[in-house]
Amino acid sequence: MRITRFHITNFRNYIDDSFQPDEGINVLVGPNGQGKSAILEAAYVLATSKSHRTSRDGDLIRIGSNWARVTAEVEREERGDVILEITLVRNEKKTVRINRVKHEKVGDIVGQMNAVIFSSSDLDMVKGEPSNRRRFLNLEVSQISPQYVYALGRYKRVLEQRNKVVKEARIGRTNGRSLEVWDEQLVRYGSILIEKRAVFVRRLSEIAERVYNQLAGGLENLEVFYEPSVRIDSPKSQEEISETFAKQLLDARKADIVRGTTTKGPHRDDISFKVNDMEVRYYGSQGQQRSVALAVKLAEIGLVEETVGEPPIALLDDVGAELDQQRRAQVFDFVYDRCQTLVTVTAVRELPQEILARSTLFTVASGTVQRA
Amino acid sequence: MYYAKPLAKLVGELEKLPGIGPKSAQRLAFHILRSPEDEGRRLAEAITEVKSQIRLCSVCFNFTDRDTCDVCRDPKRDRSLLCVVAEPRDLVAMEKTNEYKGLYHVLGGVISPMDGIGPDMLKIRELTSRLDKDGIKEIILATNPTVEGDTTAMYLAGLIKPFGIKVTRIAHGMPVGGDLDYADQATLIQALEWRREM
Ligand SMILES: [Zn+2]
Repeated sequence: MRITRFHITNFRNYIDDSFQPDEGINVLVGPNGQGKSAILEAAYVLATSKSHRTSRDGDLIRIGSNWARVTAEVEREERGDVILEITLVRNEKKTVRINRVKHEKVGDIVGQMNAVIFSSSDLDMVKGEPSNRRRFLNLEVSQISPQYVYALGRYKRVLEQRNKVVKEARIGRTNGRSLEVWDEQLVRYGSILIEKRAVFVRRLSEIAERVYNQLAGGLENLEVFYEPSVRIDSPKSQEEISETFAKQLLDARKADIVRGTTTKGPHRDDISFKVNDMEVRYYGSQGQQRSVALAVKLAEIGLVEETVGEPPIALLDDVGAELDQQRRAQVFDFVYDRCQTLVTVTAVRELPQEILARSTLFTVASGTVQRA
Repeated sequence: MYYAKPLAKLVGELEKLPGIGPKSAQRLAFHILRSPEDEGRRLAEAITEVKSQIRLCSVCFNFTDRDTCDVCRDPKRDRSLLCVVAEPRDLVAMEKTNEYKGLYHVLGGVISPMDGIGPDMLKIRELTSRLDKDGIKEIILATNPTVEGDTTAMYLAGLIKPFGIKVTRIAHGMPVGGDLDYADQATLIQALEWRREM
């Protein structure tokens, strides 16, 4: 799939600009702070409805404006071409349009266009807190499963409500069977998340293993493991997961009431990356951690390709600063001839000459993009 | 001081209404001020009457100006059918369809711990006490398809089961005449989730 036309209004430092990326590799070049990354961010917002850099939509709206809009015309092989639009309004819910039709649920835009972004936060996914990895899971599984988007929204809401009930129970205020129905709801939506995450990580691991093997010159072996808070031994059906979750939630009820929060469920999940059976998060070198982050991102491209039938758009943010020459070359090897790619650099010399020769160049200066 | 005191008071009161900002409040206040004397008085009277005469029906807890509401009194209503809704406005929506001929029970909200609303703050005890005596054969749970509405319906279904009364949940999701292509994905998923046997 590829973006044929991109239009951005009042987004970050852009007032109103549009450009037409080519298929293949598009290089956005310009000094820092001119709006290169904002283009990638805007594309990612269209794909996932969320920014990879901030959780506050207000940050995305140009200072002095009350709203921002991103529109893209997208060519898709499998599902037909589509026009996607997202409008952010300060202190209001964002709205989405698909083929000019307004959709009540913002989640409907998720996965209409698939994008995989490479940025400085990728390393946090490997090194950082479990919340980074859950965020990664949520963003990525959402892109390939509308049911996941729905279940995630519901799960978060049920969790907030259940937490309130256990907090009340902690101070002795109980409300009959109230906790039981919230448990039932938590299990219903949580089991969907667990099942989808398990399948996602299993497939991601297979692809990442191959990719990492190439990156590491065949010397090291990567495995990715899903570590759900609800202990499930082997691959299971959604009904079996529901039963297990319900049982463990009930077992944890006393502890939950003592702590005043919900201690079991997908909101406590994690994933682990192991190179040669060693937990990379704790014991990996900086180089290994970078390679793992890169392998996982590249694997995601493969996984999206497998799932939706065509490769996603690759967004490479500031790869010059993030990746050494060898890894940079490996990334371009992977995306070249496969993905429409938008890449930001501060200077063209950051890119391999043979890549540059086959790229379309755009210069970015103070919120405008121009074909060079 | 922008306004003369009585005008400031009116603007201030209007501003408290939901969905009314300072600008709208000002526009409404000036409109009322400019309108004929009796129009303003009728508005004031309507507000006073609503506050003094409307109360909750002692049977179904809908708004009424009599002790038992018009629906509960209506002899043509099917007394074996009871539709449970969250708010009086949901009852109005059901009535507008002109299809439903049974009785109602208004809960006065949905279970939402975050908003401090537990089951005992809703008219649930009053609902179960109706089940014993009214000869009800089917209960239709018509709360909204939100997390809270669903949870409330599940809670009620559990309570009603021991009475041996049939419990149904309204199907929601697909709008009537809705085009499947343009239906929100979440709506479709929900429609599937609540599918029923035919
Ligand atoms: Zn009544």
